[in-house]
Amino acid sequence: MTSPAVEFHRVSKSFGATKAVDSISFNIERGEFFSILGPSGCGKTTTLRLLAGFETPDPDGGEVRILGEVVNDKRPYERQIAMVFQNYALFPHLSVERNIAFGLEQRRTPRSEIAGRVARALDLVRLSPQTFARRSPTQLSGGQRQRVALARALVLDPAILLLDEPLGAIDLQLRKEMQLELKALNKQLGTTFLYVTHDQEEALTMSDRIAVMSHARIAQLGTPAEIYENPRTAFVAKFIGESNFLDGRITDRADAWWEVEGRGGIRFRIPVLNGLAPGQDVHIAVRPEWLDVFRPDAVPAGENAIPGTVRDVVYLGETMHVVVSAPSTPDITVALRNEGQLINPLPWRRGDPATVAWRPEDCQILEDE
Amino acid sequence: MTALDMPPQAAGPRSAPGNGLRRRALAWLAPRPQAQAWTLLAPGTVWMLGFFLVPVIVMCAYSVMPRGEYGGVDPGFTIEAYTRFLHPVYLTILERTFVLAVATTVLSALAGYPVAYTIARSGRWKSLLLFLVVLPFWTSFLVRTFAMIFLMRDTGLINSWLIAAGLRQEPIPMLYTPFSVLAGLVYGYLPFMVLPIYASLEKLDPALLEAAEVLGARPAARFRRVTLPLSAPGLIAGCLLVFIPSLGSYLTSDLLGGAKELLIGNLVQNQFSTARNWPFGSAASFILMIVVLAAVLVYLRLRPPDTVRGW
Amino acid sequence: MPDRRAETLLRAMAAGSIGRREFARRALAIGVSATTIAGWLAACRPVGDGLAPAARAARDAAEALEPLGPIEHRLAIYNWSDYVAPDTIPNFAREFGVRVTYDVYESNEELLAKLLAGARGYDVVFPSSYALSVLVATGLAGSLHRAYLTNWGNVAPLFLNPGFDPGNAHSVPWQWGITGLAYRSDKVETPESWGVLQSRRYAGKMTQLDDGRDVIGSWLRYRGHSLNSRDQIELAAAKNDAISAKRNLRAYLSAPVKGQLISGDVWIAQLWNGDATQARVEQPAIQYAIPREGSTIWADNVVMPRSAPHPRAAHEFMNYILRPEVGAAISDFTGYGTPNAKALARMEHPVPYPTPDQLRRLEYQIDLGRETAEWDQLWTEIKSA
Repeated sequence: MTSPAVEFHRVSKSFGATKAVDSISFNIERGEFFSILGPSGCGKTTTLRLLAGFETPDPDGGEVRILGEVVNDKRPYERQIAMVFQNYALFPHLSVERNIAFGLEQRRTPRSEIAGRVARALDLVRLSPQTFARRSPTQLSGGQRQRVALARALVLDPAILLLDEPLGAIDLQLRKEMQLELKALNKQLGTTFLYVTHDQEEALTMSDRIAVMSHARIAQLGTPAEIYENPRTAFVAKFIGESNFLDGRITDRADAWWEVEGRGGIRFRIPVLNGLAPGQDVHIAVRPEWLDVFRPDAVPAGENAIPGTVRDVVYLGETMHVVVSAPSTPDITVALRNEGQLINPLPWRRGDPATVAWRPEDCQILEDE
Repeated sequence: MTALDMPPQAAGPRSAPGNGLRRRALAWLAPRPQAQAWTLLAPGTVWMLGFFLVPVIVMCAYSVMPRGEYGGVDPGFTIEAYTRFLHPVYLTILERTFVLAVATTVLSALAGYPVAYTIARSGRWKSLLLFLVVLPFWTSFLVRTFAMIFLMRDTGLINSWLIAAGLRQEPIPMLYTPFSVLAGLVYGYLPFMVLPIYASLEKLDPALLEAAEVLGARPAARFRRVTLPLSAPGLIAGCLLVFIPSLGSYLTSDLLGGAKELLIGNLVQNQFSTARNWPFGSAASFILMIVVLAAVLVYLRLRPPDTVRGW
Repeated sequence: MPDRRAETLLRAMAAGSIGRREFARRALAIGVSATTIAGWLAACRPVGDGLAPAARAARDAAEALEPLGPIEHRLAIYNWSDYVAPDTIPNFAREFGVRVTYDVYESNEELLAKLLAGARGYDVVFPSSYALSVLVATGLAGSLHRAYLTNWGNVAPLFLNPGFDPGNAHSVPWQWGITGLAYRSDKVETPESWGVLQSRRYAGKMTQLDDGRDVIGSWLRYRGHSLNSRDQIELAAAKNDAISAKRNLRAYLSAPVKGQLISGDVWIAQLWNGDATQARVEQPAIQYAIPREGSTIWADNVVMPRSAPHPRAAHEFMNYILRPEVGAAISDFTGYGTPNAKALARMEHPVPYPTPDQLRRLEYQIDLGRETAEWDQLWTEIKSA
């Protein structure tokens, strides 16, 4: 059985009294596009640097393995990794081709081989060698520098490629293009990618699996679908996509549902799950796209309903958000598909009475954090 | 919008007389960015003109006039001063001064780079260390030079300590040797080498070194291929800042060298005092200035054109 | 730092935007215009007053008889360092109600350079004999108004009417001294001749003065020539002697050598007798000898520059120092000889006037005029050897 590309086993990293990474464990399979997602300060960059070798794990038994081998004490240049830095870290005094050749020169690759490999690397990132090889990094645009940084890393045929928020400084259009290119490269080359970002859309787009980190720990690890559709905690639900949150206490059971009473007399039903009992507090998340808006007298039977007043209608292009305010709860946002406001506008105006409703199974019961 | 643009004045309380003139002047300047630039440059320009350009011109003129009997110059034109300089004695002096300046620069670079490197990596001690480097400037150059005499004399601190510790029987003759002159010059000019190199190293993005490490570079290779080339502008600037003043130095060689050798600075000083030969002194100064200009030209050629990160 | 025009020019040249001819043309334009302006400036302020000697003497004689006003309340003195007793100036200031500023210089050349460049603020200066000749020749020395020098009679006849200032038209004798060899009697035998500097015996422990006239002069005397020689052959021989002595010298040092004699770093030093006496106070083993080939005798004089702003105060000062007790105090401190006969009688450590035998071996330095440049070239060659 081949070992995973990367294994973290109860790894911690402290700076002084603070733990930046607190006993995290996860594996990355070979060839996987794995993202670590989280807000600033959650520990994702430290995790990346632990894998790179710029930080050493606390000596409390935690292990970092690459391709089955423990690498806790190995320097970065002793690991089979390559890295793309946040600000690209291109050597300003070297031309593009010498930047890319740097790693090959350090490995004493024969001169004759270097030129060919550099040209191939430039092709891989879609930069023409004739135009770009001799240029200085200062003469390149942000996107071009990014590609050179990528080429510099990939030319070494690493087992694992580390990417530290590489698309942050690039404009939206180019960013989306690059996301797809990176994903394609990952599949084409079979190299394992470890991608660190705070942009959840990016992570969802590109990754095979995502580890969501918060406060030095992994909050949830799973595929994009799992993370998005079944967020386990309020943090994950809030960080990925948008959510409406409701609290309540389980009162009693009705067939396959629990009856829950929330604040202000709101009642709704949730699916029965093990581990829940009457009298317990629950906390649920309902994504805007799982809700719909109805006139108070037109709510379909069997759905959870909360009556309120339309507070705002927001135009987002692809979707429309209808924000409904109800007494005793925070505003509820409902996402509806935009079928063309010019030909088929929504009937909702500010101040209209409206009821939001959702099917009882379309919610996510959250764990305590 | 420039700093000189003022918001429109409402009908406020009348201020002191002369305010009208100021306002009119500013109003006149507002749409003329060139005039604004010249106004701001004026004090510095006047200073440079008055205290540099004019004296240099006067010196130039003196160098081609016949010498007066008791000093000064008589009216006339002659290039005797310049042809006199071509005598082997004076050319040797120029050469010797040049060699000394080069030696000072090289030694300062060798001594100064490690110091700058250490300071750049010293985290929270940076300010203190920089302060210590600059501290000697708070004392007079002459006093510092005399301090070196007290250190290096046969009966000075170093020899006394060596003999007292039993490491030597006889004192080491350190003073009045080429060694003491070099030591005095390097000591005096070292901060000029350390500070520019430090500034250059400070700007070095640490991510570059990390990138190099990931790409396989061990510490020595990282230094050779990343740190050193990127600190080159600072190093070159430091060399220039040491080379040019040490070309003109004369006090140090007099005090620490026992006045046994003449440098160009001493020669020029002699011409304006004992020898009362102002034209020759002016010519020697001018020739020295040409050498300095040549050095600056070399610097302009050497400086990498694109890596102007602050230098 | 080079001026901007030159740098702009160089950049343009380096960038190839102007050719060599254009560069040369512009550089020449900068230079020539500079020369014309400066030449015009320089010609506006000549050195010297342009008078023939006879005319100048007549003018000075007339000036000497004019009355001076009442005493001013300021006096600016410009003197050698360590050259007056500590209480001379304060006493004078107190007695006459004058505020005194006191600047020092290290050599006649420094004094001359300042005065010839046009410095006007000094009331009293102290040139040596040959420097005085220069001041007289350029008309910078002011006339003595003898009427105000009531103590004039105290001056010993030996120092009256010297060759460099006939009739004392401009100067009052101040101190006299001899340049010889100071030595540590506990380390070396008494040096008899300048030749001791050429022997390897005390190599590294000997110094000569950092002064071209004193060094070349000593080697001229060594060969029996005048130390004011202008003869090429004599000077060439002196230069070679100086260079062969230089090998054995520790350094060329003037006044600062005292400290090294005291500490024992130096055993034989060419030095003035007064400075040697001062050093002996701290190190009794320091003695003084005049080489048998002869040496320099020099006299320093008090002179009031013509441009002195406070002439009456200057004259009162000159008269003051002619008082016997004041002259004695000064010489006791400086260790040099006093030209004041009455003062000599009162001194604690009198330096007796040179005997006729000694006088035969001693020479005053006189100004070399145009030959100054040749001597400087020799000195440069000695120093570069």
